[in-house]
Amino acid sequence: MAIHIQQKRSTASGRCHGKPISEKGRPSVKLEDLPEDVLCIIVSKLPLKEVSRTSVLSSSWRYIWSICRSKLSFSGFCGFYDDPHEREQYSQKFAEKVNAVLRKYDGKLIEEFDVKIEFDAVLSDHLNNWLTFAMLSRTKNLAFDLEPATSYSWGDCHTFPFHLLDRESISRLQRIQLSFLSFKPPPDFRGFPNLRKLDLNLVHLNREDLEVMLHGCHNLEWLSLVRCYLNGKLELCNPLSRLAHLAVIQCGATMVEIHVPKLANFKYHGDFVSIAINPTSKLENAYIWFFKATFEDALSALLNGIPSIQNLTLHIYWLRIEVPNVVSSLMRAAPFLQKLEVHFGGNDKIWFADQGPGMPQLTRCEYSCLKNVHITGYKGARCQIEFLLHIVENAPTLEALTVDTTQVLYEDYYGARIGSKFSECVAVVARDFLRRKLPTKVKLHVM
Amino acid sequence: MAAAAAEATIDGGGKMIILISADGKRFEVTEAVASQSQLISNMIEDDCTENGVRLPNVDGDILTMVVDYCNMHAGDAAADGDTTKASSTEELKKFDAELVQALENPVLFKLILAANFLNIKSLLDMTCQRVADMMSGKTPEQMRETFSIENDFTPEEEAAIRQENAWAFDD
Repeated sequence: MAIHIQQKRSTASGRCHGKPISEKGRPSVKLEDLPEDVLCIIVSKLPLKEVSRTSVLSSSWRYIWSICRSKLSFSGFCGFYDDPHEREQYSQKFAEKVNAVLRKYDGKLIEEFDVKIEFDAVLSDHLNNWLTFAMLSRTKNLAFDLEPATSYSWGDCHTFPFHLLDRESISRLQRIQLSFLSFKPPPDFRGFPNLRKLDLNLVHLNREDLEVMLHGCHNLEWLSLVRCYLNGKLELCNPLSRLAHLAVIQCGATMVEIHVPKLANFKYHGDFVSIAINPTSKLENAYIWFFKATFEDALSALLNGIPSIQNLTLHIYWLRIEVPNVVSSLMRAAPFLQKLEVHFGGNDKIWFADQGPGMPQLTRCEYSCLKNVHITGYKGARCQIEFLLHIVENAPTLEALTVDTTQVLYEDYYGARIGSKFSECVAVVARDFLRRKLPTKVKLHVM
Repeated sequence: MAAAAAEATIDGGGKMIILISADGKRFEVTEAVASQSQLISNMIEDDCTENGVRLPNVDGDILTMVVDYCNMHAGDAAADGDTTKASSTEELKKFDAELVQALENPVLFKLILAANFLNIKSLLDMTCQRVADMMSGKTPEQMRETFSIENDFTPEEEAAIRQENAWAFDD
């Protein structure tokens, strides 16, 4: 078990360095002459209430107490105990150690409070007490990073104790990270007004509750939902005027609609669903991983969302023959695209596959901004070659083209063995094909 | 001559090191004693203590206290069984308390600065604790008096700050 108590040390502590303390004629040293990090050590030894009183001492003391914030971070790991009884004992011990440390920090200012442990029912009361402690310590960044005790059965999880938060602590929280918890805001809950970052992983929640809560998080800049089952259409709109980073990973959303003005980075991993992003958004980077891709119907909805995008990463889990069509239409929809990364998955049947639509189906059009294209999982399939040729012929500003035979996405053991035999051959073929078409200024890497 | 001293050894104490204060006073200590200072410990590792270690930030009277402290605490790091050199915990506590108790504020702060500069964690911690103890339980007015802090706020400004942190002032 690791317990880290970290005192933020100011980097500008050099007041005593290089300047002789005994300098003649210098008035004698006063308390406020001590370097900031030393003052932090002193105030960290006082109860919070007394520390905050120092703000009225003088203008140089005004903010000292609030600069000296500290972080408490506890992490445990009981993965070795399959026996529930042993695990319970470990969890109990962990809680005792945490409590012993907290007693020392009672009433002090703790800016950041993190707990990371596999969840056991014996921790329930402690978790609630720790939240109360954090709120009394005026914590701004809170992480309850819990995990199911076993990977094969998740069992019950702890319910985040909203009832322990008062109005003041709700408005103080700036970052919340929760994992393996049930998150049920009460009906009258109006969001965290100063929350900047919300990171929910494997959290049981109700989509409507989440949306209502997010409406009240006007300052949210960063939102990540991982394995939070949404069971419906996720809609994020106007009140989230500062949201710049959004990740929706394996959440079972049936549709994603985003109407926020400042979105710059978007990450999606899951089933192919319609993703609509406000066309006036400033989206620069998108990272999209389709799990089961059957593209035809929903494609246009996605395309409408990303006109201003500059960097796009696509993960295509199972290579289908229509992929080149999809990618080329994607690029027509995103005329400002500068960097395109496509990671192909797929099984060994793809090697040198000679099937699918030929070039005629790909309409000619210029990708006037495209500078850099990188594909992995190249297997010499006809559709891949044609896709590459299409790019080369239609991207006048292309500077670099990287064709990698390594499969970044999932590949089984046998596939990999076959792959090692074939990859050299396909590389030769690709090099041969592309050299003939490629302008000399374009850097070609075939791996 | 310093080089010769640096080669000298006392029984079991290893090499000797010369520390030179801002006003030129010289202190001869063992490597083990001096190594409690992370700064000097790093210098020993880098082999640059041959000609003595000049400490232009630390006065002789302050360095005297630091050396006393380090001599007293040199046993801390020694093996548990080595009770002959290590002072007992009781004794150390008494020594520490006496070291800081009688100090005038400016001297205490100079000692803190020296501990910070030399990076002697236990001494820094102990002296900072002393200051915290002096602040504890005092009203802002008493704190100002204890540490000669000049209140440069107007009454209105002070009232506004008190209002802002009202929870800290409601007794």
